[in-house]
Order: sequence, then C-alpha cells, then structure tokens
Amino acid sequence: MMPMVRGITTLLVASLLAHAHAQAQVPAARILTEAPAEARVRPQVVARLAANAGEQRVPEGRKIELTQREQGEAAGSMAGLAALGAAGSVQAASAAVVAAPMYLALGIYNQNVASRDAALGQALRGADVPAMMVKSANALLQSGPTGASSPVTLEFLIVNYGLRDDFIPSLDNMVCVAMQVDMVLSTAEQELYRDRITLGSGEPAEDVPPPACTSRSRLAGNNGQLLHQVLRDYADTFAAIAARRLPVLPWK
Amino acid sequence: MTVRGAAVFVLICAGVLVQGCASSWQSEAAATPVTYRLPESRAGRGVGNLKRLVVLPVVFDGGLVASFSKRSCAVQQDWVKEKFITDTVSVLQKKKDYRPVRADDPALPGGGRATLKLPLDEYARRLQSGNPAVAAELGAAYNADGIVLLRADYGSAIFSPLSTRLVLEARVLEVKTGRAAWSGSYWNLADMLCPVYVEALFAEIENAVPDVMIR
Repeated sequence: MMPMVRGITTLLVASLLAHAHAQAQVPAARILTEAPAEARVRPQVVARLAANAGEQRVPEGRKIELTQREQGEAAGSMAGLAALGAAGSVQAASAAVVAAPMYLALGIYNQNVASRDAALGQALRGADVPAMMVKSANALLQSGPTGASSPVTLEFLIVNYGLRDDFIPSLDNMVCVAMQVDMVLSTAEQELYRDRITLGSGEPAEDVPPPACTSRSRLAGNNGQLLHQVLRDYADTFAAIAARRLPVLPWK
Repeated sequence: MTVRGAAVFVLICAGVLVQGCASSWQSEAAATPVTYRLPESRAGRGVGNLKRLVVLPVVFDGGLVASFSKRSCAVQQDWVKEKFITDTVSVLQKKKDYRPVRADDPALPGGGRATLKLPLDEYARRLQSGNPAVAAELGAAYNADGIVLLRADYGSAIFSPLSTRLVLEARVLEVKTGRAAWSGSYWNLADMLCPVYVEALFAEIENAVPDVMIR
C-alpha cells in the first residue's frame, strides 16, 4: 500500500512541478489594447542600436543614443562582442561602446569564432540591422501619411545581436543567431508601451519563435549570405511581434 | 610516450569514435505550403515554408549484424524506431518551429489514418521514388504541407568491417509537388551504444515560418 501512496504522491508532485515549470517557461506576451485616439495612427518607425557602456561604469540599463557615426562603431563592436565572446568583450570595450546586457543575457559566447572565421565577423559587421527593422515594420503597416509628421513613434532599440554557441551532442561548431530588442511606442507626451524581446536566449514568450541555429561554416558561407538572411528574417519576426502586441496601430 | 601523452592520445581516439558525421541537402526550388497563406517576404524560400508536417513511421534496415551487446541497435530495433520518430517530432517542433504530427498517432481527431486506403508503410515505400498523387493524398488526410520520411540503417562501417554504425536519414517532401525539399543524414559508430542523435540529424534544417507571421 505504502509504495502505491508514495507513487501517487510522487506523480502528483511531479505533475504540479511540470505544470508550474510550463507556466513559468512561457509567459503571456503583454498586448497594448488601449491607447488614446491620437495614437492610433500610422507611426514613424525608427530603429537604432542601443548601447550600454558597461565597461565605462555607466549604470546598468542606461541607454546611450548614438550619432550616425557612433552607430557604425557600435555595430562593429557589438558584432565583435558577440563573435569574440568573453575575451573579446574587453577588446570591444576599447572601441567606445559595449552592449553589456546582451553579454550577460546570452550566456557564454564562443571565444574563437572571430579569429577562426573572419567571414562571420565581417558579415555581422556589414549587416545594417536598424535599416532591416524599419523596412520590415513599414512593410506591415497600412499605407498612409508617415514620416516625421506622425505624432506617434514606434522605436526598435537593438540592444544587441550576434551568435551564441549551440550545444548538440556529437556535433561541433553549431551556433544560434541571437537578437535582443526593446520595442517602444510613444507620443511626444508619454511612453505607451515598452517591452524587451529576446530571440535566441533568455525568457521565452508565446509569440517568440526559437532561434535559427546551424553550423558556423554554413552561416558564414557565401560571405555570410545565410547570416544576412537570418537577420532579415529576425527583422520580419520582430515586426510581426509588434503587429501582434500593438493592435492599436493600423497594420495591414 | 609519457602518461600525459598517452592520456591525450586516448582522449583523441575516444573523441573520434563518439563524433558523428552529419550532412544535409536542400532543394534550390521554392517550397509552397498548401494549408496557409505564405507571408510575402517568405516567397521563394525553401523547406521552412512547409510549416505543417506529417511524419511517417521509421523504416529500419537492420542487416545481418551479429552483436554481443544488449545495448546494441540490433537488439533494440523497436526502441530505435520509437526514439527516432518521437525525437523527430520533438526537435522539429521545439527547436525548428514546425508543426509535426505522427501519421500513426491514434489521438489525431478526424481524418488522418482513417481515410487512407493503404498501410502507412506502403505510403512510405511509394513515396521513396517520388509520387505526387500519393503525396497529395497524405497531405490532404493530415492537412499537411510536407511529409517526413525516416530511415534507420544499421550495419557494418565501410572503413572498418569489424565495427558497426547507425545511419539516420530523413527526407522532407513537398505535398504540393511530391518532390524533395530537404534531406539529411547522420551516422555514428554503434558498437558500444546505440546513438540515436536526432538533434544532430536535423541540426541544419532551416526554421519554419514563425507562428506570429502566419495570419
């Protein structure tokens, strides 16, 4: 009798734990259903690279808005950070800006990628991710008056993007493309919505797909053609997530 | 050779033995789904467009391999087949974002196997040589965009006749045309244990169209 009771208890506890684990693993996405009437128009879409100068003792979480020239440098150093990994972060820090949160959130990066495979690093640095974001979001929005005249701004702050190792038994050199974006909807007066979305690591959400993972060599082939394709796919995915989470905007 | 040198040598040899070998091929032709409307930005893309997949039972080619190990694939054929198909569904769903279903799943509501005229093994055999009509019939029965064929081959390793190896193969066929959109294979030595590493087999298949992009 006792083994049976113990078995049932174990089963109950296990199922409760599994249920709690499942609940914790997939939090519901926050959706903006209420907004002032003046905010329900086609927004001006902007995207930029946000950098946290973790190595320069800037308080964690503070965003530094960069000039056009600095954005170029940030793209290089972020890509370098992602590719170089922990050892590379120190070198990347000397390039002025480092995105510290991504480094923490995405775990341990492979330390040898950039040195072993220059093509990947070059492809990462050569990708204009902010432009991809703007293009994808604008393609999903209804046509209409837009630009600086819009009272609403939909901003994609790209906290970081890069590669992380993927551990598959018996295979080497597998990586996943990761990207972390703060999605912000605001008017001149107030911020209506802000959420951080990570594709590739961190907290999963119901509308965030698993990351694209493949071999490093395949990703780097043809001058990083596949890597650029994945980054464009990610931009499309973030735009689709924006359409789902911000139904107050005029999407197609 | 020093003790340290010997240890390094042993480690290298062990590494070579447990290291599998994976390869994959993808059609250059665009893949077209039949169960949903493809987002504009995905037009012209490959196997990832085939979001809903039906997975047919594993074909196991065992050969005549003597084995003295109870953990050998030769004496665990049913286990190999079940693990292969179960892990295939799991990996494609959780890591690659497809919506796979097992063709032999009795819990499938309506349609499915009940509407088929032949045993599932026969469908798998007919699809090996490419058969658009059969692909269309299966696709309609399971409301699928693609069909996954699985094959396990257990036999002697070419480079070492005294060793055995397990080869896992998968092909994804497009329901609309019946042609192959992706294929992959993975093999590993199988003398000491039976390495059904399905994640390695599908490591290079591209992700499916995300749910959030399907309206």
